[in-house]
Amino acid sequence: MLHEKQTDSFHWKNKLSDLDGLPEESISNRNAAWEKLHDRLHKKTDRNKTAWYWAAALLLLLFSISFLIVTNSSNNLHKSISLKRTGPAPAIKEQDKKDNQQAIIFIKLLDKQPATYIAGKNNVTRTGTVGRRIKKTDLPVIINSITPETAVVIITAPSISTADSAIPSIAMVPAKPSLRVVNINELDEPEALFTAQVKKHKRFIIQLGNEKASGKAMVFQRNFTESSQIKILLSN
Amino acid sequence: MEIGKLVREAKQGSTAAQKCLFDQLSDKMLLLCRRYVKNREDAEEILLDGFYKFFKHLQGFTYQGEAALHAWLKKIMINECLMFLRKKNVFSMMAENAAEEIALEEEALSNLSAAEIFNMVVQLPVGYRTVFNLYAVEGWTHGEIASLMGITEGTSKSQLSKARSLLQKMLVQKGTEYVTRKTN
Repeated sequence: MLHEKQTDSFHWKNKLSDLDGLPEESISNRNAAWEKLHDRLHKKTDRNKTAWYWAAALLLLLFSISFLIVTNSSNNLHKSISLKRTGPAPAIKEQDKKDNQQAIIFIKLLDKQPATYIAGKNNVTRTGTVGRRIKKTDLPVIINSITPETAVVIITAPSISTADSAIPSIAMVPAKPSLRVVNINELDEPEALFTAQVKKHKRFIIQLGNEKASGKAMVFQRNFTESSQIKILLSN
Repeated sequence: MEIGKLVREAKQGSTAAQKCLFDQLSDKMLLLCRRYVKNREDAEEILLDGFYKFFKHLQGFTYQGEAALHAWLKKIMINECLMFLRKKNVFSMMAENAAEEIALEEEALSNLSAAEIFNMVVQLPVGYRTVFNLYAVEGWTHGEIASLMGITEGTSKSQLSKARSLLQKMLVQKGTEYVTRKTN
C-alpha cells in the first residue's frame, strides 16, 4: 500500500518535472528572446572593456599628475626657502630624553624672503617651498650633542652656505656692524661719531734685544692696515 | 546535436552552440519558471536572467552528463524565481502554526496528465504554490524552505497543507467534471 502510494507520488512528480514543454507554454518569440540574451551577454563584455579603458585612463592621469608634482617639487628644491625667525629663539626639544644627545629644532616659515637654514654639526641644510608653511614634522633637524645655547638660526641673503664642521653651532650669521646709537647733541665734532664706530683694540709684541713685551693699542679700523705703523713712546 | 558537445563549444564561446542550448532547454525551463511565477512576461524575463547566469558561469561548470546539466540549470532558474518573488515581497506571510497535515490523493494526481497537473499547480496562490513546488516537487525540507523564504517552519507546513487542501478540492472538482462528462 505504502509502496503504491510512493510510486504514485514519484509518478506525478516525474510527470511534472519531465515536462519538456506544452504547446501553449513556449516562448512567445524565441528569436527575439535569444537576441535579447545575446545582446546582454555581449554588452556586458563591452561594458567590462569600457571599464578597463576608463581605469587605464585614470591611472595614466594619476601618473602624469604625480609626475608633474614631483617635477615641480624637485625644481623647488633648487631654490631657497623663505625662513624667518620671529620672537624668541627657536624652540629646541630633546627628542630622546634618555641619552640627551639629540635635539629637534622647529622653525616657523613666515614670509617669502628666501633664506637658508643651516644645521650645524652634521652640515644639514634644509630648504623648503617659498610661501608654504612648513609643518613641524617637515623641518626637524637632528643635531647630535648640542645644547640650546649653541643653536642659532640665521636670516640671511639667499645663498646656500656651507657650515664648518668644526664649529659646533648650528648656523652662522655674518656679523652686522654694530652701530652705537648716538644722539646728535652728544657729538662734539663729526669725527667722534666715526671713531665711536670703528675704534678697535689691537695687540702687538715689542722685542728689544732679548726682552719681549706685549701691549695693546687702540686703532681706527678704517685707517689701520698691515703696513700701518704704530708709534710707541717708551719712557723710563 | 549532442548536449555535451554543445556545452563544450559554448564554453569556448561559440554563439551557435549557445543558441542551440537555449533552443533545446528554454521551453522546459520556461515551464519551471511558470510553476513559480504565474505571469508569463515575468517568467520569460526570469528565464532570460537564468540563461544569462548559466552562460556566464558555464566556464566553471564541469559537464558530467545531461542530468547534471539539467539539475544545475534548474537550480539556477529556481533561485532566479525565488529572488524575483522575494523582490515582490510575496513571502511576507503571517506566521502560522503548523496546520494539520492533509494527505493528497497521489493516485488521483498520478492519473492526471502532466499538463493538467501543471495547470492545477499554477492556479494555486503564490505562497501555497512556492511551498508546494519546493517541498512536493523539488524535495526540499521545511527547514530549508523556511530559511530561504524567511518564514517559520510552521508557516511553511501550514502553506503546504493549504496547498494540498486546495489541490484536493481541485481534484474533486476535476473528478466531478470527469464523471459528469463520462455520464453525459
